[in-house]
Amino acid sequence: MDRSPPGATLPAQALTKPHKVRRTKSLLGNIRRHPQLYLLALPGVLFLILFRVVPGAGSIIAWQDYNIFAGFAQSPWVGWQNFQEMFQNTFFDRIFRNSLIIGFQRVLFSFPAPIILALLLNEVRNRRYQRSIQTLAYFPHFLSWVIVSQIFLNLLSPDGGILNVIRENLFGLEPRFFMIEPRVFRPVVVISYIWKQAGFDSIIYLAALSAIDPQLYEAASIDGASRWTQLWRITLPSLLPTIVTLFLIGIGRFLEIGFDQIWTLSNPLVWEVADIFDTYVYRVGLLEGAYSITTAVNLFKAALSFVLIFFTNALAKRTTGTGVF
Amino acid sequence: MRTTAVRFGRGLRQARKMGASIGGQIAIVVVLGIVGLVMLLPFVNEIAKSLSDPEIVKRGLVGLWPRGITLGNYRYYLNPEFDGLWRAFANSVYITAVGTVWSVFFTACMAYPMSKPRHIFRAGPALSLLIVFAIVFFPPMIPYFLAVRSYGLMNTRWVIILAHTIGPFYLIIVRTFFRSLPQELFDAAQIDGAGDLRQAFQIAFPLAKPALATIGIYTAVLLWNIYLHALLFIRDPSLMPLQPVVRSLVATAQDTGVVSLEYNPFRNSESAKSALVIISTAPIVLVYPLLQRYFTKGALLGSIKS
Repeated sequence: MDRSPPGATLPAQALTKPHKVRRTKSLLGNIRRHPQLYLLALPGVLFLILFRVVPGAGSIIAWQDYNIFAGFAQSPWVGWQNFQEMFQNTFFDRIFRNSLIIGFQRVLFSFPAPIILALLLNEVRNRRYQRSIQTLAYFPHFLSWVIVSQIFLNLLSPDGGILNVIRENLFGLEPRFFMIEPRVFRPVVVISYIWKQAGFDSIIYLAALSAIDPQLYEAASIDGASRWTQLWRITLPSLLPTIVTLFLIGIGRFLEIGFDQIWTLSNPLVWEVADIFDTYVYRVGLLEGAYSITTAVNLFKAALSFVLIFFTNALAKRTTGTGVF
Repeated sequence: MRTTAVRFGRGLRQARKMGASIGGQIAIVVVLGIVGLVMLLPFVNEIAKSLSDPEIVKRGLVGLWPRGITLGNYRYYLNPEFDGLWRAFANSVYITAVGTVWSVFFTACMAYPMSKPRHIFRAGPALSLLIVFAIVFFPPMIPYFLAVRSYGLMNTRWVIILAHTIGPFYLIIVRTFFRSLPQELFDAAQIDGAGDLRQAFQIAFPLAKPALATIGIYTAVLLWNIYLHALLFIRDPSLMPLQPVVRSLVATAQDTGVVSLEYNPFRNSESAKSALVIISTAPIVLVYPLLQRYFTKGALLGSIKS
C-alpha cells in the first residue's frame, strides 16, 4: 500500500478503514508516525533494562557456582544446590526468624500510631497548635536512618545517654549499655520506626478524615450523639476502608524491613536477634564474597514477598473493592 | 483539605455545640503536647550535649541544658583529619542537585508518552507492565552490584544519580497528572504545527510543575539520605556521600576507638557524636519549610493512586 502511486487515489485510501487499522496496529508504523514520543521514552526504558531487567536476569547466579573471574557465562551450573545448602545453613533459620519477627512486630505495633495521631489532630480546635504538632511530627521522616539511629544510640548510650542519666539521677542505678542487650534491640527498632514514620504516615489518614461529609456530624449532634459516639459511629467506620487497605499493604510488605535501619542500629553483639535477609546478604554476600548462595537467599525473600503482596492485594480487593494495583 | 480548615476554624464554641466537652479538648491538647515533646526533646538533648564539655556529658550530668558550655565539639570537626566530612557534604550536594534534576527530567520524559492513548503511543501498555514490574521487584543485591559494576560505574558519583534515573512510583504519579490535562490543548498545538517534543516541553511540562516539584522533593530527600547504594558502589573515600561518612565516623568512635598519640578530649566523645548529629540534621532543618510546602500534596497524590 505504501507503494501505491501518489495522486488522486491516496486521500480515498486514507479514508478507508483497513488502511487506518493497519497504521495503528503496527508498532513500526506507530514509531514512524510519532518518533519523538519514542525518543522521549527511550532513556527511561534504557534505565529500566540496565538497572532492573539485566540485574534481575543476573539472578541466574543462584543456580551457578559463581566465580568472579569466570563471570555469568563460564561459571558452572549447579542446579538447586545453593538453595539446598541455604535451607541447611544454620544462619538461614536465624535470618528467616528475625525477618519474620521484626517485620511483624513493626507492622503490628507501629500500625495504630498514625491512626491515633490523625484522630487526635483532627479533634484539635486550635489550628495553630495543630500545625505546630504536625510540623514536629513530620520532621524525622526526612532524616536518614543513619541519623535517626544515631539519635537513638545516643539516647541509650551508657556514657551520658539521657535514659541512663535519668536512671542514675532518679533511681541511683548503674548505667546500662542497652544496645548490646539482645532483648532491647527489637523494641528499639519498633519505637524508632514509630518515631520516624508515624507523623508522616498520619497525613494519609488526615486526608481520609477531611473527606468525611461534615453533615454526618451535624445530623448526629442534632440527634444528641456525643463526640465519643460520633467517633465510633461515624469517624471510624468512614476510615475503615483506608485502614484495611493500608494494613494489608503493610502486611504485604512486612518483609521489606529495609537494610538501613537494621544495619545502623545493630552491632555484632545483637546480630543473633537483628540479622535479617538484607543485612545477611550485604555482609556475607558483598563483604565476604559468597555471591551465589546469598543470591539464592535474596531470591527466596523476593519470592516470598511477591506472594505476600499479591495475596494481600487480592484480599484488599475482596474486602474493600479496590486493590493497590 | 478545605473542609478540615473550615471545621478547625470554628473554635471551641462550635465544638461544644457539636458534642465535644472542654475536658475532652484539654485531654487531646495534653496528649498531643506529649507527642510534640517526644518528637522535640531528643533534638534538645542532642543540642545540649553537643554544646557541653565531653567529660561532664560522660559523667551523665547533661539533660536538656548544656553544662560546661563549649563550641569544642563543633570545632573538633574542623580538624584536617575531618576533611572527608566536608567533602562528603559537597558530594551529597552534588548528587542531590544533579540527581534530582536528572531524575525528574527523565521521569517526566517517560511519563509523557505513556499518558497518551494507545492509538497515539502504541508501546504504552507494554511500558506500564515494565513499570509495575519495577515497582514490585527489585533485583537481588549481588546481581545488581555485579551488573552495575560491569557498566564501569564503580567509584563515581554518577552511579548514584544513574541508578535513580526513574522512580517507577513517581512516574505513575506524573503520568496520572499528564492524563488529567485536556487533550484539546495538544490538538490545538498539533494544528499549529508543534511536534510531539514541543508539545511535551512547551505545554505538558510547564503545566506539570506542581507535580514535578513534588516528586523532585521526594527524590531530593531520597538522594540526600542515600546510604546502601554508596556502600555498594563507592569505595573511594573522597567520593563518598554524607550518610556513610557520618556512619563511619560514629561507628569508628563506638567500636574501635581511633588510636592517636595526641590527647584530645573530644575524640570518641558522646558530645562530639551529638555535634555530628546536629551538623548533619541542620541542612534538613534549613530546607524543611520548602519541603513542607510540597510534601503534603505529594502524600495525597500517592494516596489517590492507591
